[in-house]
Amino acid sequence: MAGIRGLTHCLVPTVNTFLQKTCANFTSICKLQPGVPTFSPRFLPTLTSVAGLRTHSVAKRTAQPFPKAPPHQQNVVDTSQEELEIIEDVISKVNHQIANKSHGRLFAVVQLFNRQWKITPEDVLVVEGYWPPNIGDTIRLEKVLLVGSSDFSLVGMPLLRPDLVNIQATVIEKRLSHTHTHFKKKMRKQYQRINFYRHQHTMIRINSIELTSCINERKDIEGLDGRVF
Amino acid sequence: MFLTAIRSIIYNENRLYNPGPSKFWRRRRILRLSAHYFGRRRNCYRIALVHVQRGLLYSTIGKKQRSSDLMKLHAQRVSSGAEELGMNMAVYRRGLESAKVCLNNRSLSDLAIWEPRTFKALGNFAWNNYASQGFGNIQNLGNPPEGVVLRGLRRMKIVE
Repeated sequence: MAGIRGLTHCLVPTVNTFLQKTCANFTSICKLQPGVPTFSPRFLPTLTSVAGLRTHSVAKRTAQPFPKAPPHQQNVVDTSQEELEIIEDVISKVNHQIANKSHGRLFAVVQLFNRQWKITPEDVLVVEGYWPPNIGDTIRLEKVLLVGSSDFSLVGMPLLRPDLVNIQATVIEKRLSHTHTHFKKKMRKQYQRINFYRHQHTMIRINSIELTSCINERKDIEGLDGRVF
Repeated sequence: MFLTAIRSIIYNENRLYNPGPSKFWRRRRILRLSAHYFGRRRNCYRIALVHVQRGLLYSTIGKKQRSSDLMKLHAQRVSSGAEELGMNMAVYRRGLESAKVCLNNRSLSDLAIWEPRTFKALGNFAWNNYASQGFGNIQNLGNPPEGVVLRGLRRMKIVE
């Protein structure tokens, strides 16, 4: 099964294929004609928002056109100072929560065994396949893509700094899965094969997710913590 | 001499023909798998054999289909979550990808279900990033979401 999954990674199209916009030119041509309605079916409000099943809907935004550029030259108000104040305000609030540990339970998205997991303390992950750590090993998950709490989320581009987040986990169990049956048969060809196999399963317990330093700080030397020379 | 001859017949490992288990146990092996079936598929060996083999074939095929099915499911969930925010999946994924946010569809669908505020914040950021990079036709994007300040991302305070 692991081999098959490895193959599918090669066969299945990558992220980029999802991003191709096929009908961009077509929609822009439609917009130029005066009688043609200006919405596309992709931006229609969903059924649940129309039926009032959802408490808040932002689909209203889609019905409005994008603000057009002014035809003549215009003075642009410089809002960079206000934005800077907003940024510093938000950062100080987040840092205050980190310093006081007043954020609640944290969750994180980590990359482990070539796949991404959304984890929170006390979770148990099952890693399928050959994985060297033994029972009782304490490991630190270092590829952290995202850490979030009830009030803020920290997103890595692509990873968060290793001195910002500390995720500790323990290997609690190593065993085999249930027996899988791989049965092949060709009709009227006297061909029949049956194989049995079991995967290696490694259970790891997430012990803690901690934010260990404040955000928006740059140290003199980075990337040396946790390294052995 | 006689005992040696018998021994050579019974325990010769190089014999080509190996009869295997007896008829009864060969049948039990199949009928064990058909124990939860209904009707004659459960008890009659010849009928049970066909359906057990077919069931095993289906399970083998289904295991191959499982990973691609899950990928489609995750993509569908991210797409639906993005449409709830007023954009489509292309804007969402490309806005994040151009900022080197490597969250995949699986983790994004988890966020869409269990952490909707994080998913919404990521979507608002993705919209702004998509628009500021000049991807696609900006007329189709709708109005910008409020409360997003992109500029602070690249500004780092240097402590001396």
